[in-house]
Amino acid sequence: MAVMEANDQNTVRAVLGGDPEAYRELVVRHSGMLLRVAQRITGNAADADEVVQEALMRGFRKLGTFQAEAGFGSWIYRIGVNCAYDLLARRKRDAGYLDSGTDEDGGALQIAEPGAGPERLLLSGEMRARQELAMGSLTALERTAFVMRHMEERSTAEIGEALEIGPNAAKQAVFRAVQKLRQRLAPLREAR
Amino acid sequence: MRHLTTEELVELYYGEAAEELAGHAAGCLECASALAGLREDLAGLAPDGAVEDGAGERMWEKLRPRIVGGPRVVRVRWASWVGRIGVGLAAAVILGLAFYAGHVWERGRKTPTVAVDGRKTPAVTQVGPGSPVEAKDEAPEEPAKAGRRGAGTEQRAVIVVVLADQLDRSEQLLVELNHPDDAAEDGGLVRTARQLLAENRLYQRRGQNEDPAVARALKDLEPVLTAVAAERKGMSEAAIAELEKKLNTDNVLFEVRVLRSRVAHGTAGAAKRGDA
Repeated sequence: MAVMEANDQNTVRAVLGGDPEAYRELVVRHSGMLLRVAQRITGNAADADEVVQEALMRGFRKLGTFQAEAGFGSWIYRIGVNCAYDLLARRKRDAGYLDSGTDEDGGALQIAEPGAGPERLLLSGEMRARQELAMGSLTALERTAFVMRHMEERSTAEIGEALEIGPNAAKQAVFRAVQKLRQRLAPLREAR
Repeated sequence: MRHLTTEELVELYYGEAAEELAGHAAGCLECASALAGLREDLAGLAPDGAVEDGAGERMWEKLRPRIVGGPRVVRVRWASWVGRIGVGLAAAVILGLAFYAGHVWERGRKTPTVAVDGRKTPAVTQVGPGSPVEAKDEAPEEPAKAGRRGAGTEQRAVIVVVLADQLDRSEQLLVELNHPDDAAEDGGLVRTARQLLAENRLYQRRGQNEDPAVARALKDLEPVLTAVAAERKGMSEAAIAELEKKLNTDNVLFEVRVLRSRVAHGTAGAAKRGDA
């Protein structure tokens, strides 16, 4: 990790020294991590790709303000999370104009009886669909905070820092997300 | 014995709970079972999002034309500070001059108020940020009295229509505040509040001689809009609940609704008078 950070710092110096081609190294090194978190937050690959392009461009433009001691990886990660959050919020707002934003099925999902063979497969497919639906019901803030906490294993302080909110607000966002998810996944729990 | 709250269980699950909570969960059958339930529910939401090999190279291919084509890297150097201070001073002087010129221009534009229906109405009004609407007939001569009355009525109709729109949007915002839902945290509420706040202040400044009920409603709206606009991103349900309690948004909503209905009638009346 320390070697990578030292490499990053050398690369940043090269870019700032007037060699934009050097930015390629940073893009190649950190795109994977950015794509992963962006896909988890936005929920799809196309949006994730857009987010990562935006984050890396923003990083390039703001490279002069980058504080070396923070580590380029953490810095660009925060930018990526912010871009993903912004895009998700925008998508949710746009979707809000098209529908009322209510949970269409109201929890009335038909769960197949868990048995062997095809029924089990059907249940697993329904579980995935239900999980996606449940994740989709979260607000942009809740989803971003939950992904960072549950899937990215980031601390509350890191979530707060990335989303520019206080640690308590970050903790509350995670808590609300967990509550909503459990509520929406309750039919699956009963079917198990 | 106090059992762990759901919030404490979530903290415990993510390893952020105090040690005594963990100790309690270890010794309490009920809390241990609740924690196991939580673990089981969340286990299904396993991390995903595998990234294909070569994703970084592909990303660079997409970005390269934008980066190498014309990079604008901001560099901060101590040596350039003198230049920066010079630029800053020049900008300040330009701003000062622009402000003074605007002030002088605005003073020159101010025209005497026109008496309409026994009430003084400014001859120039503002219908929205940056879009001044001027009364067409400002002639103070006696023979033009009827014309003045017509122009004043038109102007008032414009104000009423714009105010009705402002009240509509304020009502929507207050309804959202009183019924916080999922959309409340995406920042849209904050942006709307900022816009409404700017307009609200404009109306308050412009409408000093207007209906006292309008003035009161706009004044009551101000702290609510200020509080929402001051949020950095979205508002949590807890923050909204706090705001509701502190500023009694229910009452403000009622006041706005009453006023909106009055203003809507006023629009019809003003339009009718304008036609006649």
